[in-house]
Amino acid sequence: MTAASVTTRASAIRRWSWLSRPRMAGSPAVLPAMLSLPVVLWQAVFFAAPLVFLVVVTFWQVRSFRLEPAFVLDNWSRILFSATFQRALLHTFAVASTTTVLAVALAFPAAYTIAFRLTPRMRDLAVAFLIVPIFSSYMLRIYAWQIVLSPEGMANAVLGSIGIGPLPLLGGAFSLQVGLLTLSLPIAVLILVFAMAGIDRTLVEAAENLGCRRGRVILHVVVPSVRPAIALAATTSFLLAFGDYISPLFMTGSKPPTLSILIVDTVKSGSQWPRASVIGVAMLVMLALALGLGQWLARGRTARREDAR
Amino acid sequence: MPTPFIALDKLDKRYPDHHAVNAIDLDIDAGEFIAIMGPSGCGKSTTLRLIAGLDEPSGGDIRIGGDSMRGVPAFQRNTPMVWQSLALFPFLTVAENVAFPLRMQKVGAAERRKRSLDWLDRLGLAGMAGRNIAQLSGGQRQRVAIARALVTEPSVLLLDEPLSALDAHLRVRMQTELSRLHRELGITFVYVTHAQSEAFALADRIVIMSDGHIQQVGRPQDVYRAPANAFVADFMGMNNLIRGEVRGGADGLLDVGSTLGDFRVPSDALRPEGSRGDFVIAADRIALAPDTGGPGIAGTVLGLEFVGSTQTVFVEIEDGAEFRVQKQQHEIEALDLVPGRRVRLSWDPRHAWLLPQPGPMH
Repeated sequence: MTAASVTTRASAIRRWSWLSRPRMAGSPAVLPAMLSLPVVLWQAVFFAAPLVFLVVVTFWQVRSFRLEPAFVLDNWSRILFSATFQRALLHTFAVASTTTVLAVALAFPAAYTIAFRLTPRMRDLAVAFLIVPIFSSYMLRIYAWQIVLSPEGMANAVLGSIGIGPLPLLGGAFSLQVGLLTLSLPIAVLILVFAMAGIDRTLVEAAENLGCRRGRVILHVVVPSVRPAIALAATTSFLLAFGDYISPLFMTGSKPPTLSILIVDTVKSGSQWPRASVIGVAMLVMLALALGLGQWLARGRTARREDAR
Repeated sequence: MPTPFIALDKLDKRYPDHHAVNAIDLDIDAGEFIAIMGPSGCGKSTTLRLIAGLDEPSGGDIRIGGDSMRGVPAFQRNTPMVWQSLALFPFLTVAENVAFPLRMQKVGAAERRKRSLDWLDRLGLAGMAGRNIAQLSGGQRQRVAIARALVTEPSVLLLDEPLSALDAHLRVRMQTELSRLHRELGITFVYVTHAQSEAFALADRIVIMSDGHIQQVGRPQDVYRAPANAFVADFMGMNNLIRGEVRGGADGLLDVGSTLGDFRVPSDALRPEGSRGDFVIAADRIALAPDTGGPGIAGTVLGLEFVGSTQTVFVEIEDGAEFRVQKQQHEIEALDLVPGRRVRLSWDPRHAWLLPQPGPMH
């Protein structure tokens, strides 16, 4: 009886392999390719095509406020060599870099506390509080900051009660960073919380067991374990801050202008779509470089050495 | 030995929902290989974690080399541990993993490199120093974990089910390796496992735990042949328990009456009539014969299980209990033991082992 059941099972396996083998060995996987078609189409229509058009437009001309197809390099030379563009580029880069450093510096201890020091219940609550603002209007949050930071606002009222101020909190580098961190900090914290929650706790115990004091565990285990997440949080913060339009507009009144404000200005003044596109393409190149740097940093020293072999 | 190297003194660990370690006392000598065994949740791993300082005891004390470990944090104890999951750092190379404890002790880079390479060499991992952990096989990772634990030359090594993630073939090879290391280093090994074969193959002494209590401490053969109670007899697996009552006795043999009949059981001391007379008889001490009446217990063969050179015969006896009998292949064939066959079980009374006292578990 046992022998009979064994035979049945063996023939069942044969039947299955008979069905599947010719297909696997024969034509290449057609079905998976067809399944990915909608995504490919979507990407082509809504991402690749506009991007190509953006680059094409940079070579067009504007005659009497009308866009005309052409092939001139004039837009590129005028923008790239203009002092306004160069200043805005440096300014935007400095602002975004500052936001990146601040976001990671503030997010790391916050994420560590949430992931390692809170009870599971409190951790879920903290994560919920970080997610909610992402789904609320960014614009609304910036208006709220305007009220808080205005000369007669809440911040100055509190400072005034202890004899400080009133301080010009709104309309400078400080308020700009407040605005940009409003956008990037919750996301940076979330990225790091999820990465830290995934660290094998045995690694932390092993480090302590092998002579690593509590405080140094962060340096020797936590940081190297979440290195890709740190790079991701930094890249995300940089991308968000570099391309943001709302905070520079409402927290500093566009002075000095960032690249996104420059784009709007260029379009408004004489419908210079081609020149605005040049700035747009320049921004995309910067962001691509930032992404590449982030990827490189994400790969650990050990992994990089492995590649070099 | 005058003083034990590791002394657990009324060591206790309570969690809100259960009492993991219940005021245990245990002395471990310097250089001893001791295995702590027991079913899941018996407190064996917690005991090891308490020794390492990874958990805080709720009561009692641990002394290592005579010093109380109360208030000594894990990183100052130098009680390296080998985890079941190995807990190797995936972001460090093989050599950097091994050098990690030296780096924590602020040993210079050159010295660190030399010592970690020495240990890799010693464990047959020469040439693997620059590899990533992900590139190693299970057995190689195991060796890295052992090298990392031993690189600081500690006087004790803690092992928490280190071999249970390996396949059977590798497990046997690593047992030999651990045995060799223990011999060469002469340091204390505390080895937690649920695998009897590992404990028996490696340990000088075995500690059997259940429900946070130590049930028995002894050499492997003593724990096997002379279990302290019904729990240990059952946990060892190859023992058959008969519950009975003392009816009398003389000349070092007690008369024990049970539902299966009357038996004679050796005993150093006489016990009063009517007291408990539970005893065990090991599976390899039972003789099997066709059931033609006579002394012993009658039973029906339920099935056979092949275990290497011998087979285990499962026999259902009169009261419905299941007995295990270990037999050589040729004996099985001679008796034509197939399921359903009626057999008679008997044994030399000298091989029965009277349980010292009624087990606390039952």
